[in-house]
Amino acid sequence: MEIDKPVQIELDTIYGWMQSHVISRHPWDIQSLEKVVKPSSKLSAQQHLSIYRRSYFSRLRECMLVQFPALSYALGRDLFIQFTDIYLAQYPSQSYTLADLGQHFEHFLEENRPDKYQEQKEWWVDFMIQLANFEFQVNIKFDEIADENYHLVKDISIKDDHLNVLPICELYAHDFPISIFYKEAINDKSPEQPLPQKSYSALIRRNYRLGIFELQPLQYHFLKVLKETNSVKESLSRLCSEFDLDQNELMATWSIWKEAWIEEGFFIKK
Amino acid sequence: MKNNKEHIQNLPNLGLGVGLRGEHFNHILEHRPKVDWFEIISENFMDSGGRPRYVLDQIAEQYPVVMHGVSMSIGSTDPLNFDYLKKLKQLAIDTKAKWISDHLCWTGINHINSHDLLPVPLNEESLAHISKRINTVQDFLEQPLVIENPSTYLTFQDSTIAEWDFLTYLTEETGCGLLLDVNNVYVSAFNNEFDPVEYIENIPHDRVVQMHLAGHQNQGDYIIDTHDGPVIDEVWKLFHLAWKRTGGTSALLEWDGNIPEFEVCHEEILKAKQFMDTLVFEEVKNDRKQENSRLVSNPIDFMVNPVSKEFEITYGDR
Repeated sequence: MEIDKPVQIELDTIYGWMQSHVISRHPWDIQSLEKVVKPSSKLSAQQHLSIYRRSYFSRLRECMLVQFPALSYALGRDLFIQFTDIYLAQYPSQSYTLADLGQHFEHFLEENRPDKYQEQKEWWVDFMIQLANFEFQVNIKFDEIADENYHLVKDISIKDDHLNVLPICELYAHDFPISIFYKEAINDKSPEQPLPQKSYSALIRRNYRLGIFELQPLQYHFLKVLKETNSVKESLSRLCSEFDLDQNELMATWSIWKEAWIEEGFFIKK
Repeated sequence: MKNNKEHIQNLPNLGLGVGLRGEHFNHILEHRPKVDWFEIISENFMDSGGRPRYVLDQIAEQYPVVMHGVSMSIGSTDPLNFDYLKKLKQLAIDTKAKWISDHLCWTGINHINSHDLLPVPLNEESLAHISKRINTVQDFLEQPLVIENPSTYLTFQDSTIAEWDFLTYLTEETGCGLLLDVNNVYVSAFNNEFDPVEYIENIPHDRVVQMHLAGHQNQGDYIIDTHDGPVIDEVWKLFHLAWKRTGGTSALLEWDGNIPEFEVCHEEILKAKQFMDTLVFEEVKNDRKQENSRLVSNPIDFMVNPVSKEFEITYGDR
C-alpha cells in the first residue's frame, strides 16, 4: 500500500487529464499539453493527442451507426452523428463491452427531444424514439442468453395444449409501422418516414437467428396472453371475452394462425 | 511467479492462426478450413447467449482457441473489475483457451470506458502499479496473463523507461508472457521515434508466447494501426527478426477493417512461412496511405455485432 499511494495520485492525474482531453467535446487547455505529452520532430503534443481524440469519436460513432442502422438512416447520417456526439458526452460508456453503448440512447433522445417544452408534441420525434427503442431491443435479443434447446413444432396436427411460444418472442405495439420501416431500412429499400399508424409486431429468435413478423391487433393480443398463460385455450377464451368475438369464428381463425405460425417456426413443444 | 514463468515457457507453438470474426462464421462452419488455431476477442463472447457464442462453441470443439481481450484495463487506477474477470475465467474454461491476453494499456478511469487502448506512462511507479495488478489478475485467473504491446501515438513526459525494458521488467516481476505485436512495434516506433529493431532485440524473447501481424495506414507524419489490409514488407522484416530471436511462436493475423473473404485473411497469415527463415519478397508492399480523417486505430468491427446483417427470416404482413 505504501507504494500504491503516490502512484495512484500521479497516474490518476495523468489519466484524468488525458481522458478529459480524449473524450471531452470542449476545447482543450493547450497550455498544459506539452507538460504532459512530448512533441516529436513531426508532430506537436497536441497533434499526438488529437489522434486518440479523433479515434475515440470515430470508433464510437461507427459503433452507434452499427447498432442503429435504421435510426441513422431516418435521421440522416450527419444529424445522427450530432446526436451521437452529445449522447457520448452525456452518457459516456461505462461498460466493458461496446454492445451496451447504445443502451441509454432512447432515454437520451426522450430527454433531449426538440419539442420538450412545447405543449403540442411533434409526432416525428416519437417515431425516432420508438425506432431507437426497437433497434436496441433487436441488438439485445440477438445475443441474449436464452434456451435454444427445444423441439420446434412442425406438425400442424399437434394438440393446442402442447404448444408454447419460442423462448425469445417479443411483442411490440407501436404508434408507427416501426418494424416495417426497420426491415426496409436495413435492406437498403430507402423507406420514407411513415405517418402515425398503430402497428403490431413480433421479434423472434429461432435457432439463434432473428425474424420479425407483422401482426394483426388480435394476433398481438392473443400472443401476449399466450406468453403469460402458456395456454392456447385460456388465450382464446380471453380474446373472446375481451374483444366480444364469436367463439366459432375465432376457432376458425385460430386454425389459420396456428398453421401459419407452425410453418414459420413460432412454436416449440411443451 | 516461478510457476507462471515455467507455464509461459511451456506453452505450445500453435502455428499460424486467424482472428475469429463474425463475417467468417458461416464460412468456417460450412468449410472447416485448415487453420491451425483461432483467436477470439474475449468481450465479444463472454456475455453472449446468441449466435456468436453458439458458433464459438462449435469452433472451440475443433480448433485450439486463444482469448484476446480489450477491456481489462490493466494500467488503469480504477479497481479491477472482478465481475469481468469472473466471466473471462469462465469463458477460458468453456473454450479450453490456451492462454488469455490483453494489452499494456488503460481504457478509462472513473468507471468510464473510452474503448481505446490508451498509453501508459512508462516509469517505475506505473511498473509497480501494473505489476501488482497483473499479479492479482493472474492469481484470480489461476494462470499467467499474456500482455501485448499496443500501438501508441504519443509519449508522456513522465515516461522514463523504454517500452521494451518496461515489458521485460513486467515479465520479471509477474512471470507474465508477452504477445509481441510486430505491426504495433513498427507503428509505435514511427509515431514515437524509436528504433523498432532495438525494440525487438531487447524484449525477453523467451517470454514471447504469440505474435500479431496486421496492416496499417501511413498518414505521412504518423501511422494508424487500422488492421485493414495486408502486412507491409517492413513489418515482415521485423517479424523475420522476431522469429529468429524467439525461435518461433504462434502467429496470428489481425484483420478488422474492410474484412475480406476468409481465404484472403488465411492466405495473408500463411505468407508468414516465407518470412520465418528467410526474407523473400514476391512483390513489394510498402506503406499504404489513405486520405481519410475517419481512420480508427483498433477498429470497432470486431467489437460489435452487425445485428442488422444477421436476419435469416423476415416476413411481411399476414
